[in-house]
Amino acid sequence: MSRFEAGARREVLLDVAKLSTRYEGRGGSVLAVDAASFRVHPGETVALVGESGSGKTTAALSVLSLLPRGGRVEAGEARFRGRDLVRLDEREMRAVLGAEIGVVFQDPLASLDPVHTIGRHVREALRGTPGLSWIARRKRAVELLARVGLPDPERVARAYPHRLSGGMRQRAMIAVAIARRPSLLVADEPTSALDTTVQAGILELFRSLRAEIGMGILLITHDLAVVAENADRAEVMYAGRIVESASVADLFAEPRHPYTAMLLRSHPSRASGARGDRRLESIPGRVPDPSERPSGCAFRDRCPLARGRCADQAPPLLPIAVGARSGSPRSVACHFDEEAPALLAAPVVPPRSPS
Amino acid sequence: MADGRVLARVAASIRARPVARAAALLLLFFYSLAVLAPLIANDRPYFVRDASGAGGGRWPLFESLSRLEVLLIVLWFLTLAALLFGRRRWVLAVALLVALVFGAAPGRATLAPSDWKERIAAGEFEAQSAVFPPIAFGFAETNLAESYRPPTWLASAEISDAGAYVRGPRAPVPDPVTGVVPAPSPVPVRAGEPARNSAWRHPLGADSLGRDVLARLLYGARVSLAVGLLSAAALFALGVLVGAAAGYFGGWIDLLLSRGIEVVLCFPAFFLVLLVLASADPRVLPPAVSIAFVIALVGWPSVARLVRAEVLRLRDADFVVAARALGASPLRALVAHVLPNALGPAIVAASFAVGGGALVEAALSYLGFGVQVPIPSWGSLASESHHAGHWWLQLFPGLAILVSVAGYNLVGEAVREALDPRLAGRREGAR
Repeated sequence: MSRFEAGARREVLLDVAKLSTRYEGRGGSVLAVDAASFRVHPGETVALVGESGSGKTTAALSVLSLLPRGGRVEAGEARFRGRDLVRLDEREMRAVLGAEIGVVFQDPLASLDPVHTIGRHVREALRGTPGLSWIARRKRAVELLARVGLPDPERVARAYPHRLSGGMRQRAMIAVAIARRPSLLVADEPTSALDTTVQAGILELFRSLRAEIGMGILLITHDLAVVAENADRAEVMYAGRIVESASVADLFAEPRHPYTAMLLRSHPSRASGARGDRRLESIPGRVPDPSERPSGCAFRDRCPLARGRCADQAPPLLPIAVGARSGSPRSVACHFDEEAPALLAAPVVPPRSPS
Repeated sequence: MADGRVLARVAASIRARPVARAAALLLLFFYSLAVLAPLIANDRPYFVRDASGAGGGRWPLFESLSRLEVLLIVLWFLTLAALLFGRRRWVLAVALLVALVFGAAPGRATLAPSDWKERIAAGEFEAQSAVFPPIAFGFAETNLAESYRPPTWLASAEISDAGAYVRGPRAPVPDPVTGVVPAPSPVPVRAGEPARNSAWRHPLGADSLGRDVLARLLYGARVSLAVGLLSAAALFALGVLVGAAAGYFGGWIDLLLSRGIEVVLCFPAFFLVLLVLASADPRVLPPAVSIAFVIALVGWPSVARLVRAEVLRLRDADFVVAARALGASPLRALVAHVLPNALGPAIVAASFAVGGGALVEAALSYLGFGVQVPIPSWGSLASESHHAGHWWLQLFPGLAILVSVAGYNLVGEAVREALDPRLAGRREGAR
């Protein structure tokens, strides 16, 4: 039995449905997230996977009401424990953030205020906790720093962010995010700015905290290795849309979207581990500029399977047969999804229109 | 802003630069002299014994100190202690308090000339037991026989019993208004004062009314130093308030405040100050305080513009978003996270404004728009006489202004080195 099945019987923690987010700027308007739907269950890690510009961070920020200026949720809802976060007013949202949802950002140095000590950051996160005196907060802050594996937490609490290493900063950020034992942790590229060896420690920390607090994690990443080792489910995003949704086991064994398949091909561990010293491949072309999305399927310019109706019919995200490995539901947005698994093994076919 | 505590970095920067360090110490010395002026220069003795011989005595100087004076002196010692030993965070608060009291203190003339010297001379007290301060003159104590007496360590200042100058080329100067040449009259040496021709009698000379210039310089330092600090503090507060509001809220608030900034910048500041001071009532506000606020009123836009630019840069910074992700309100994000990071350039501007404010005060007082007689300030001391022969009346106050303003600017330079983001690259390179 997979963790997903266990989760499915429980309540849904976060239920995002048909969420669309638009950026309005001087250069025109851009639909950064187009009708994205996904769910996070308690104790489950869901990964939003995609290249930069795919809309994965925007989707998360939309849920958190932390969109930068010019960003606006156009349609859809994000139900968190029954409440639609998109429709909460500012004051209600502030009560949810920090207390029930913790956030870890990509760049821990930029996300920590340079003029405050680490201890003050954690104490500030604890501010809303009812019945916690100033002294108790101080003590609790040091405990939290110890919990996230920082050596000599007393000293770290007195240090300013620039005095710590990248990994220590990210641990401090995590201490801030989990200070009030949130039921959902949103982690936006939490390990991308870190060395590989440090990454492993941070991800291990996420796993142990998830077990301890029982929180759901929404993990935003471009790194398939991170997904493989930490996530239960993966939502692959491309050009603002979710193109494939499956349990991680199914996704890696049998990708049903050509984009997923090619992402897997381009990954070093997959390439060298499973298939000897095969050449590492990149996906030709690049993510289309969201403001000039091609007609039909957004991936067709880079897709070896593209033909015929791909040019004018955008494939909807449709459920397919449950995954062979996990037995959990999966869906994909491709007209020729059955041909996709073969791409993992097949020699590279250059796309039809390389111009 | 690369790292933690602003004050710690400023202190380190000053310590690392010998010139700035010397300037800071000199300024501290000046401030100490100004605060302690009533204890250094006074026409009241510290202590004098009763003539009755019963052993009783009086402490005239300490009895005359107002509560405000005592508070000022205590606060100053606290500030010094904090600077030397304490955590530096609250130094700023105490120093600001000192400046405020400082600004208010000279307006209340509690240190008017006393009759203690006469009473001692009359035999009410035991003359030998009187202990006078190092400078036994009050700032308003006149001695007309010594009008325009040069510094007494000069040979040309020697006066005979009859009151005439013994030698020296200097003939008695006619009064600039009446044209009357003062007839020499014997110089009275009162109880506790140095002998008539002692070098310590008036080491910096005397002014038109025979008041001791050194004593007046000491008291004048209070106004001149306080106005600089007070005006910079007020200018900083006003500028930060307006700049932060404009930068953080944006939209029509920003538009309105930015146009306001530009309008104020267009005014010829000095004449605006003159205009306001000419119509200000010295009975309502001590002139030293109103000068400081008027300087602040025309000086805040430069700080406001810097703060606005910094807040605009920082309001969407990652750590501000991170604070909002913890449920911080916009106001809290502004006060706790945006502002502390945005203040660097404003602090630099304010530290240079201290010297600027002191200069404006000197100019105003020189023109007669400053503090009212008999309270001295360095500017009004310098305008005491425009006669070339009375060089000591122009030289010493002028030197005091020069040295203190140069000191402020040298310290300001060190503050800039510590805080200006434009110099950050150079700082890193130097390490």
